[in-house]
Amino acid sequence: MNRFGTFQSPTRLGFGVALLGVLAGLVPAPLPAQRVIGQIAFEQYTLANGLSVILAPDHTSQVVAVDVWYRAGSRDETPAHAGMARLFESLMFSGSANVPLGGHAAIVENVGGRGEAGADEDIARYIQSLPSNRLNLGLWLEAERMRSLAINDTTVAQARDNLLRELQQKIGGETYTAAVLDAVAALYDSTACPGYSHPPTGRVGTIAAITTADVLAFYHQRYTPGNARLVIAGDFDPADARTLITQYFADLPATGAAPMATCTATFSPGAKTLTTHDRRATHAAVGLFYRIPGANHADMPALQLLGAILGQGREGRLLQALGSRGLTIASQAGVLGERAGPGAFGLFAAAGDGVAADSLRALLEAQVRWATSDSLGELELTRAKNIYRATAVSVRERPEDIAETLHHAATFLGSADAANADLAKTLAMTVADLHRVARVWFTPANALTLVVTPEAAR
Amino acid sequence: MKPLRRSPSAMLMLASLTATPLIAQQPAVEPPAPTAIQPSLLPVTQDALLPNGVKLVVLSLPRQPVLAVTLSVPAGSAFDPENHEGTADLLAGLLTRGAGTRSAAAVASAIETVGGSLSAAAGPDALTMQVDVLSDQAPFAFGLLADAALQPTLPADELETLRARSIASLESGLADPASLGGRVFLLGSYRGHPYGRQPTPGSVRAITRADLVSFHRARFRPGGALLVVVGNITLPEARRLALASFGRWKGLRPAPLPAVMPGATTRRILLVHQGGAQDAQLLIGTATTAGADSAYYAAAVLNRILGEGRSHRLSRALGRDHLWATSVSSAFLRTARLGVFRVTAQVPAEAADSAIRETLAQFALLRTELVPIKELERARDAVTGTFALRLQTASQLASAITEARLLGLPPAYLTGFRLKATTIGAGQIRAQARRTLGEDGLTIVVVGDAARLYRPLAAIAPVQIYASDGRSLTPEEIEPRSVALAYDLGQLPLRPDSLVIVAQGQPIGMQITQVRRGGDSVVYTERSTIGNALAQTTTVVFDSGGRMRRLNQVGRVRGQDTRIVLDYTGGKVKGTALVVGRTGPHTLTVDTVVSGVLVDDNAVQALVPALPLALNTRWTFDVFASGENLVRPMSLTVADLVSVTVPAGTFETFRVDLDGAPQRVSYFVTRQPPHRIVRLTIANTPVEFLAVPADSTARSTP
Repeated sequence: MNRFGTFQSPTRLGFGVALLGVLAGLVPAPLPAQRVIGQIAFEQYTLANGLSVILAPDHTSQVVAVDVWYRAGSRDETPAHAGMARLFESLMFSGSANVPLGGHAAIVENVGGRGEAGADEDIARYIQSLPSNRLNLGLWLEAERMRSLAINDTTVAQARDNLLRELQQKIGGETYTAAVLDAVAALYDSTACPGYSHPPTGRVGTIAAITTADVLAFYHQRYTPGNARLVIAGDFDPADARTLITQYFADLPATGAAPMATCTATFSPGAKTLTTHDRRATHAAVGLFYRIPGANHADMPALQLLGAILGQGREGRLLQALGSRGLTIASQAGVLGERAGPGAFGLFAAAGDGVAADSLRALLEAQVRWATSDSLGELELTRAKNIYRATAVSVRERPEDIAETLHHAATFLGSADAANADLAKTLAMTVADLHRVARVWFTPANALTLVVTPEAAR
Repeated sequence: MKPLRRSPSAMLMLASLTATPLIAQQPAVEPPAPTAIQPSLLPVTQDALLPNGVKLVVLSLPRQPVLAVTLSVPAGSAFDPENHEGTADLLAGLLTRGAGTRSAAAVASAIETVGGSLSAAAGPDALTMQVDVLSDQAPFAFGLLADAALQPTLPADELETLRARSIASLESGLADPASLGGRVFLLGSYRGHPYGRQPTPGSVRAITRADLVSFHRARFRPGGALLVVVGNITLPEARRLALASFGRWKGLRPAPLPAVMPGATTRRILLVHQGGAQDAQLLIGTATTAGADSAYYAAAVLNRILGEGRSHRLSRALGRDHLWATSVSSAFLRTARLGVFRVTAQVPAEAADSAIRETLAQFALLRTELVPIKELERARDAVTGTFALRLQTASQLASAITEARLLGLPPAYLTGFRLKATTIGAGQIRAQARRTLGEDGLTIVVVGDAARLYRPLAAIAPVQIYASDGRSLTPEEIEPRSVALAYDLGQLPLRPDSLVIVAQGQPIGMQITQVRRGGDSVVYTERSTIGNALAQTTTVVFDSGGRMRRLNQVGRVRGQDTRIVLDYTGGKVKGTALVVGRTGPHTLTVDTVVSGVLVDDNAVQALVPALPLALNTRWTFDVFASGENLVRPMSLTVADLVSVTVPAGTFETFRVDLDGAPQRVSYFVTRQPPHRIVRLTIANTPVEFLAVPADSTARSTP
């Protein structure tokens, strides 16, 4: 999915995205017998073939979400086949033994449901929201494509074309995107962390190099019960769901979890600057990118709040200090995407009229210093906590959001229980915590500075 | 509230994949059949009436610590004062932009600081405001809503911002066939009832702040107001907060809408002329029933069968079987007093009459034959499924309860809809089709080139023709006979004219024109540059009698070379044109016989100042469109007298409109000879050309 999109529009900020990275839960809270407002009640088990299952019934709506995550992200592909994980975003709709080409999406839509797919650095997700009397259909469809996805020269070629088209639109059509993409990948060492040091969208050459045999090998290694988790949330009876899961999934052959690609973090390797040119840009732009630990680190709640304080909303620091004075025309800040680790924190801004790249760089660096100073106080922290809390609640309303929240906790925070424990932890952060975390991670030696020069400057 | 992040790319791909036709191989195993729909476990809503007449509806949902509150008052667009259409829309926009002691920015900051959201919008019947917050912010939410509804400050600067945005959107809507057709369809279907009235740029311009104040005073009354509260709150608490915020509000219920007119009995076609359009936009439908009519369940299933979703009868008939329609769908639009049903389709102009006939044939089929059980089950499945997915969050529930109550539906509507819809049988579908899809009262709107469409459509039903501004046209007017233009090139000044090309106030390029005389020729040269996107030089050579002799155009458009070389001699146009089309550059070989006097489309700008200009004069003439290799009629109309201020100074001008190209071009020509073009605008684009003083040419030329 698209982390870079968060930099495109000043109105669509990355915090909702980044929030998912903060559901830290080292101390799982025990589920009270009586259901507490805002908590998610769930049960979990594992099938003999390795498929992990979480069931979270909630009868407020008549909707059920069937959500499968595979550990099949871009960090699991070889750099020579960059784009492999993303290829499955469309390939998974190519049909299967009993579903014709294009039939999956049509079946879902014809019953009033909706579906989405996305592959990130660490995982690939397949979400369906259906009317609750169609739970059986959702499970049947997921089992179909886990068992017998139509992978052949035709479907692979079509998926490759789709990905190339997406790449062309994104990289070729959106100002600054290619530069940001390269800068974020450059944060990671290609030997110590090959998985994060290439862009998850792939490159034209690497996508073209992917053969049908490569795709089949990736599918057989990664799209297996032992490498997947199924979450059902919403209006269903857990006993019925268990019966259906056994019926559709139990006969899939057992597999172990596929090995996870290693990524060793190197923090503070020394200041680095990347200067690049974007011929679509009319204004210079500067990004400050910092290496930070992964989603489950104790500093992550403070980093998420810092992202909100700097980058979110009309009261966000970047907009207040720079945008409202015409010094920038667009700006963003926050934790980038969700990664098992290590992660990245970014500030990015496009310069206002008459503002040179050097001045903009100094202005952004001043905002980072501001975050470590006493100017960042209770007022800013309270606003950030309110926004954080409202977002945290909103991702517990719809069944599909509940399913995603549980997946996230189980994948990135050590256990699904963490989904019910993160909020208190974030709300306990103090101004001193934020200052300390900002001083630890936002140092010149830990930064990569991106300078994008516009067409006119060339 | 922000949704979880989604991958737009994946959605795109999903869309492109599903456009692929299904492979006709029989699957081995069928997908599992649906299980029975269970009764909804949603708690029932609780109603209360405040002493001042505000109706309070509470859905207590202690599941997440959230709260959604809506306030609706009978101040929808149907209550817009005549000639001030757009009042309710503007008021809705302003309510959230300054209230009580808060400025627009302060309102936005206040709601952002608690992580909530505030919105307001005008529907046909009501103006509805909504606040979404965490439930511990309930007092703040009620207070903010009361401030916005009862004490809006209606700041003048915010009004002007909204007005400009509204006019720009209306103007672009008038050029868009689907949106223009939608307007005409509502006007035609409601036949004078206020539901059919809609804002125009003129009506929005006419609205003053005082109008908004008096509309607010007249329509924002506790009698008739509806307050819907959904989330982690009890009825007594909601009542206490409502009384604290709205208890002192006084006033009786404002006047209701006028009674609904009896339905029309004759079928008619309203044809909206858009010269040169290749496609026709069709809208076919009729007024239906009141919002609370129980026929809605059958109507929803009928609509799914006929024209909703990815595969339905109309898409199969107009799309798959005939390949006429690129898009076709149908919808029931509901209002409290009288809804409408309509089919919309975009088809090539030559297929417009066939597509209308086919649509009417599909209506007839539904009126006469019972829908097969499989098709009926699929439609019911989709309707009940879609309904469930619309009711997931407190915010969605608050919107849905509000909408249902405003339509006059009973409290059990939302929880009972799905089970009711599953009982709809084929007989009820046919009865509903007979009620709604009768042919007699249909209003058929067609937006397209009336010169091509008039005759074929007249064979289906009586046709009334309109210009896009609503002016009535006769069949003769849309099929005008072309004449030779009488112009005098001797009138053209010989010095260069410079125009700066401006987009949204920012200079983006230059155009320099010059006329020279030499021997027996008059040579017009036009050089245009827009950044790196366009650089083009056009040379038109006329003979001393003013007839076209040669056209030469060279340049680069978006990095592609273009070149047109044409000879207008011996009763023919001959030459080649290398043009950049939608699919890339291509070369046209031109060899066309010319009847009479023909003007190249690149020469029109040169000739406008040479015409005998007088207000309300109109010329229709044949133009050779060299980029397309075809002859088409165009018209020039001296439409207005306008005072124009541009960098070169202030001028009294004729506004001369060129019609017949995809977008109208307006030339502003000085009334004092020698006539010069001092301003040029292209309809529905932010681009204009403005004359600059002669001495600035050298400096500004890139």
